[in-house]
Amino acid sequence: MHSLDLVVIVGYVLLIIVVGLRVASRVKDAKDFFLAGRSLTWWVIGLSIIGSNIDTNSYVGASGNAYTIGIAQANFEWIGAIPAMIIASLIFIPLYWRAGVYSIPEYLGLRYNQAVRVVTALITSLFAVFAMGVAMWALALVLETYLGWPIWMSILISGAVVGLYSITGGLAAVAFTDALQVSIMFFCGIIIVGLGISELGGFTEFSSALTKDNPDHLSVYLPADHPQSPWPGVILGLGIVLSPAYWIASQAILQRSLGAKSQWDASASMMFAAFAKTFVPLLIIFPGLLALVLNAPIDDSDKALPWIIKNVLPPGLSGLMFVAVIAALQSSLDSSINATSLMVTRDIRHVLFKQHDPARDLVVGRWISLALLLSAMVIAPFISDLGGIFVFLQTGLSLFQGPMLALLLQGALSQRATPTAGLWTLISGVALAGLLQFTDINFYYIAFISFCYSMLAMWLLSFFTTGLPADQLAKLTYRPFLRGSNS
Amino acid sequence: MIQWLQSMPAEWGNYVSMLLFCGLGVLVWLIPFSKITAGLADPKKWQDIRLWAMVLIALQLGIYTLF
Repeated sequence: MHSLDLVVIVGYVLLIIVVGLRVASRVKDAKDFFLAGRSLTWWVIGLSIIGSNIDTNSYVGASGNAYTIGIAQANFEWIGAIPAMIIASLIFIPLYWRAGVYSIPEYLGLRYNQAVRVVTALITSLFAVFAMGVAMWALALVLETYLGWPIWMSILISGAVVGLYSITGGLAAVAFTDALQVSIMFFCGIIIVGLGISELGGFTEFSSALTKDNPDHLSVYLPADHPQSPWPGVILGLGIVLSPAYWIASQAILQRSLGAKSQWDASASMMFAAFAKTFVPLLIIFPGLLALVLNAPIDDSDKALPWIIKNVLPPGLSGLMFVAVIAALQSSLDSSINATSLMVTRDIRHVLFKQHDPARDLVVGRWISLALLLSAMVIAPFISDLGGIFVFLQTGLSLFQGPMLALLLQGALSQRATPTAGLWTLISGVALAGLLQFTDINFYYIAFISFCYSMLAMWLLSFFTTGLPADQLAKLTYRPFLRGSNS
Repeated sequence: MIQWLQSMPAEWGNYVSMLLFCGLGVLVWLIPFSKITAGLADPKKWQDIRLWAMVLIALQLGIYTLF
């Protein structure tokens, strides 16, 4: 590695630690730690949302997938994100923000019952620990590839850096460092696009070289019988279920919006993030396509991005791009730690152990953050045994996102859904999705089937069970299309 | 049903996506301005995030038309 690259990397690590610790000095209580004292402004949150969203899937997996299937991978950033982000911004975020909750399970607890709150918090926390292990493993892999560090040393050092600011500074430190990290990512992404296109002589030359041997690589949808990305599956499973479930139910994503200083800032932050999201394929899809056009001599598609960084970028910029990749992984990891710590501290501990002392939440939250970080570090070395990162995470998400989405949609937009119906729909919907994993049905269709089942089950079970009183429902449901509605 | 879906050409995906975005555009304008700017003392035109949503939808329509 060039010495200039090393200077850039060390400078970045120091900058992140200084920014994180500076923000950390303002943390006085649990509200500061988990919701940044409800002080965040829309553009910081928006950048932070993208920082949390661009994760292992994106940098390590999506570039590789783009190398294999082309621009169809960008559906995760377009149809698989933008509609759901618009709906989250205009409907769900105002509802959560006004309810004054810290987390999505807390909202579900108010809307249904405490059992639903605990079950959703447990499921999402368990999955988050694995996802954190994956993020930590990917981070270690990148460090091993570029710096030649052993995996264990990479895990220890990256864990220490992330832990230092996320455990002390909480959400505010996470949000500000994320915003900085996303700015670096976009800066590097734009430079890669510029250098790549100019090396090939322009966009027309790039696109004709790409489609010469890979005619479908500039088609956003692949044939309906494509084994990995069939277009009906992408629209039904990703666009209608997985994406809305992620953007309106992911604690790691929505927590920063709940920390906004006003309801408008909370809504605007998600809309601003959607603008940034539209251009994310430049960062994560284009390098994969560029590696293909430049005939990169790689045996594994996941090596497309590392190859581009080593062979297209000059010294200094290559270090900065390396920093951007680390930043992407760090920002997802720190967000997950803070969000999961919140769910364990409040949604599980408060309900199961009857410990409601808010004064202790800050201390407990920090200890839980440390425990989560250590768990991720312990799990990380074993992640490679679980198969491809991308498929593992998507399969995990398809287990519970259909039922979660049904609960949120009917709970937020209808006064009819009852607590008992919510609990049994959640349990049976996850069980159904789990059973379907043993068939050969694509995970997109599994998500769609479990969502349809859950919507129907909620509707039917609510006929025979008792709902919440009208005055409680008034605060917890949002019917913006009715001008005279309570919300 | 899955087999029936698998017989449909890929460009239908583009049409369905564009239709979904147009539907979303209509839905966005059904939300009253007062709900969008709730809590703001003196809401400005640029703070109407329905307009932001329209720009986003136009970008997406462009993408799904082009690719």
